[in-house]
Amino acid sequence: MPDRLDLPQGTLNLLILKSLSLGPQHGWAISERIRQVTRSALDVPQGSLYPALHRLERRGWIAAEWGTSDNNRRAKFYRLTRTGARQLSAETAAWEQLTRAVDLVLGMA
Amino acid sequence: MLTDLRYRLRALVRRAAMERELDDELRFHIEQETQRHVRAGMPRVEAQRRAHQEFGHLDRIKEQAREARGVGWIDAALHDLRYAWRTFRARPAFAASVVTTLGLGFAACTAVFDVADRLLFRPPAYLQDPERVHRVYASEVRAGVPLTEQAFSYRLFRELSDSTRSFDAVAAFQTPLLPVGGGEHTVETRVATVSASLFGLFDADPVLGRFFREDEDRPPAGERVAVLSHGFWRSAFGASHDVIGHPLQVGDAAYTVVGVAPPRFAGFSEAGAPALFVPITAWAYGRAPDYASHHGWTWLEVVVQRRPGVSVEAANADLTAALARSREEQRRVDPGLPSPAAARLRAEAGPVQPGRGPLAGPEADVVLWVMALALVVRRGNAGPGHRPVAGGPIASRSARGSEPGVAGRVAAERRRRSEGSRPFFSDLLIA
Repeated sequence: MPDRLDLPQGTLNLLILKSLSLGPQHGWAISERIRQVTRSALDVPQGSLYPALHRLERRGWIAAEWGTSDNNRRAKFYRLTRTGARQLSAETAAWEQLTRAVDLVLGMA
Repeated sequence: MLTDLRYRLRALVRRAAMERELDDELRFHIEQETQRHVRAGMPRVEAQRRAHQEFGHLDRIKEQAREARGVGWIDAALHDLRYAWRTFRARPAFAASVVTTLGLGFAACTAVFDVADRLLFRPPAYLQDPERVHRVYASEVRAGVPLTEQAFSYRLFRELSDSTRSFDAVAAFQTPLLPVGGGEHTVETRVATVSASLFGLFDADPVLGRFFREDEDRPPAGERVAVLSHGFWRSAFGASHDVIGHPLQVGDAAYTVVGVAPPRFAGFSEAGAPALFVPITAWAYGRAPDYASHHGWTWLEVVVQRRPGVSVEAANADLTAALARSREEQRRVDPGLPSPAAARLRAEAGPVQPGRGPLAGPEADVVLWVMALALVVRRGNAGPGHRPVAGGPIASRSARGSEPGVAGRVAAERRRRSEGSRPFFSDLLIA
């Protein structure tokens, strides 16, 4: 297993929004998706996900609804709102701009 | 913004339901994670332990989720209030000591703020139009050093009064400590030596008799008449109505009481009401009979009331011109004095509150520092490692631990405190 990286400040929102852009998910599934996609490279403390979800819900970027999980349990599902989708685009663009800039610096001859 | 408000409102109204939902949501997560470990071949007990460990501290996460919903402070406030109420019910002596301590604290704060208020903000009691009333300051540069003064000779006061046109009134005063009374009843107290014009700046009527008049304040000798302050009238004369016409020894001269000022009337005295008010001329004549003829004795503070429609700039120019004329007069006697232009002589109609003027002494700074310090200490009290003076936080830890039903919340509570919660609501209950 590769060394796990601490999540850079402010990126948890981006990861949550991106995960939800693929369809509604409950909290555990979001955490699981991040783990699988990053091959466990990112250290996202599971508990920290929920304050972040509630904050995003308050801002209106995601909406929540209670439903039934795959194993027939009652679970709270989150989905991306239209405002959230716009926010995702903006944050993705900002992230790409940042990484390109950092790449340029690191690529200096 | 609207979404945020709607969400907070819902979180507030549906607090209990949202708490249950949060519990369900977190429990669901831990259960899912446990099953993942079980599917990977871990024994269930170990899987559960691992799931909890990976999830993090449950109480802390709940607390953070409440904060994220924007209602965390309401929870904290309600908890503080409930806890403070229970503590006080159980320990009335403790409650009494807290109330006494806070009472003393409030009294000290009030005293400090009162001084600050008087020096910096509040105009003198009864002052008719504080916006138009100013203290006069004179500044010049001597040997390269800028100097600002607020002490003027009687002669200069008269010159400013006679040769300016921007003012409804020009008044002067000084409040020396003088022996008042005779024999064994002599007390050393503040006596305001004031020009008769000073009373016209106030909307105050004597409670007895009258204030002294311009014709009783004419140089050189004036008349030896006195107006008692309300406080001195009560303390020294038992508020007797027969006091008018009564002789009163002030320094080495006898004055006649002609009136009693209303309560709180202090003129422009910063140190509270003086014992009495006497004409400048009468007192100065007793001290130095030639006081009105020269500029040597600078001892008076001067205040002016701008005429309506005259700007502060125009008033400053008028005062500066009068000051320059006076300086030229003085140069005839003392040619060594620098000319107004060379000295960059300037007069200024400054704020009536001395703490806001160009000569604000260290006391104004000290008061501001004390006020700032009080705020810092208050904040420091709520910070990590300290227990704020408040109902909930002030209680001993052992008492907190023995509280029924709260033991499980101690860790989260302690953390909440150390992360800087608001003891305001339990203070409020005590108040």
